[in-house]
Amino acid sequence: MTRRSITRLPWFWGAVGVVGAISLWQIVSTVLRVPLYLLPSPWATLEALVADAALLAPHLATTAIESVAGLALAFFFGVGIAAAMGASRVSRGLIYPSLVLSQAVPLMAVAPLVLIWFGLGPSAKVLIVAFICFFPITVNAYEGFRAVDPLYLEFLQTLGARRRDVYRHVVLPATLPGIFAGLRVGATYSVLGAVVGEWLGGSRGLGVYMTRALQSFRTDRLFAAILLVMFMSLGLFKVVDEVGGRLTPWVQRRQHA
Amino acid sequence: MSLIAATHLAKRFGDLTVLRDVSLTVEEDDVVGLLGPSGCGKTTLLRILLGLETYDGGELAASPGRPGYLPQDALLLPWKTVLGNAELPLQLQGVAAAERRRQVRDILPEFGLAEFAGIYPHQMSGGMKQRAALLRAVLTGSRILVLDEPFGALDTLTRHRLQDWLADLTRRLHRAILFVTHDLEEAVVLSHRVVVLSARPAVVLGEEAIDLPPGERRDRLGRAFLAARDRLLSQLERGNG
Repeated sequence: MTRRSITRLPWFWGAVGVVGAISLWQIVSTVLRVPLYLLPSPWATLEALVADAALLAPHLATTAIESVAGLALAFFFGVGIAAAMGASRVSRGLIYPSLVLSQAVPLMAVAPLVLIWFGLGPSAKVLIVAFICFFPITVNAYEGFRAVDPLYLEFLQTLGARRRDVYRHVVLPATLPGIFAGLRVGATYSVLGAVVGEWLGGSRGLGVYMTRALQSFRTDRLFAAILLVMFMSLGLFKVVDEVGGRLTPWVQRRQHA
Repeated sequence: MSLIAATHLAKRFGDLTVLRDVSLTVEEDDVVGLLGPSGCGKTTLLRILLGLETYDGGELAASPGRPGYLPQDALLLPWKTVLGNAELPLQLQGVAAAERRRQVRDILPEFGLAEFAGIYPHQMSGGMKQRAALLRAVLTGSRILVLDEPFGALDTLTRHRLQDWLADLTRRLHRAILFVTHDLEEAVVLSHRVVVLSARPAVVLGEEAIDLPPGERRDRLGRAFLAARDRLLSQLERGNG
């Protein structure tokens, strides 16, 4: 491959940017001898990641399970609410304002209450994740329901389609791209939601690990956990993106970086 | 027995009279063109015949079952391939998957779509979409096909090709066809009979038989073709003078 063609790869300049920023950070840390309790160097972060791998693994698993479970819950709730709003003008009027208002609730203030209600175990975290993720899924799915072209519905009528045929052949596929657009956004929020929940209390999860690392001023461990959170978000996003692409092959996709 | 027999149909939308008095019959194997100026209510008439719209006066007798319909913009479902769209009528009739696939694959070559069974509408040209949508209409199994300006949105060359192709196809298909057009040439190429409608509110201005052998239907500059075209034009002009 020639150099020219490498620079044309979609991820090339993004990779250059990331590697450049990390290098700069390493150089600044080394030259200025920034103390570890203020900011770890990338190398120190990597060392902590390797040294603590065995300890991090179960925390990682807990956070991953909470994120995926919360996202799944948000999916079922979001699509359900969207379908309910799509059913009639009255149901839309009833639900939509509450839905928007729910997003104005300062989660950081309410989350401790959720932990009090549901305990320090994973179920409270799953609920927090679901609460954060269901809004984009609901809104996008609802837009999908609304965007169904009535001409298609009419055409199916001429084929003698019944109501469930219409759902199967028109409404569901028309809504699917919207549902996945919401799920992609939700996927990027979900890990964050799980970490916030863990941060507030619990015994397992990357958020718990982070609070412990911070209390002992081990910023290298904190950053190692942050790194894992970032990769987990990216991974979850990619999985959702890939599944969405497979299930909606008719959608012309733009290139993601 | 007529597949469609409409007598003195009338339709109003509020104060707007769209159809005043439209009578029309379509027999087995008939190819009937509905010719009229844009906005004269042709589409409304089709919608009534398809059972998508009610009518306010007159009578309509239609053979049982709905006609196979080719809507104006093809209306292929974007999330289905050529195969998926074509088999939809069979699927809704409860035909088993293997059997409907077989039926579609058998007829695809006739529609020039043999190699394109797996592609989606956004990958298709305008002409391909119309052919696929016509195939879907044929697979309803209905004795009559209703086409709404089938080739109206296509470029001239593609339109001419598809008109010739459809004229050929109708001779083998043995279905009655009722199609709407505002294109005089299209009416001559395809029709056995042309029903000429006035501007809104639509009344039937007259009916012209087109008795041309296949060779002369293609010859858009031939004497017989132009004569038929002129007869239709003068009917249109007389009624919309």
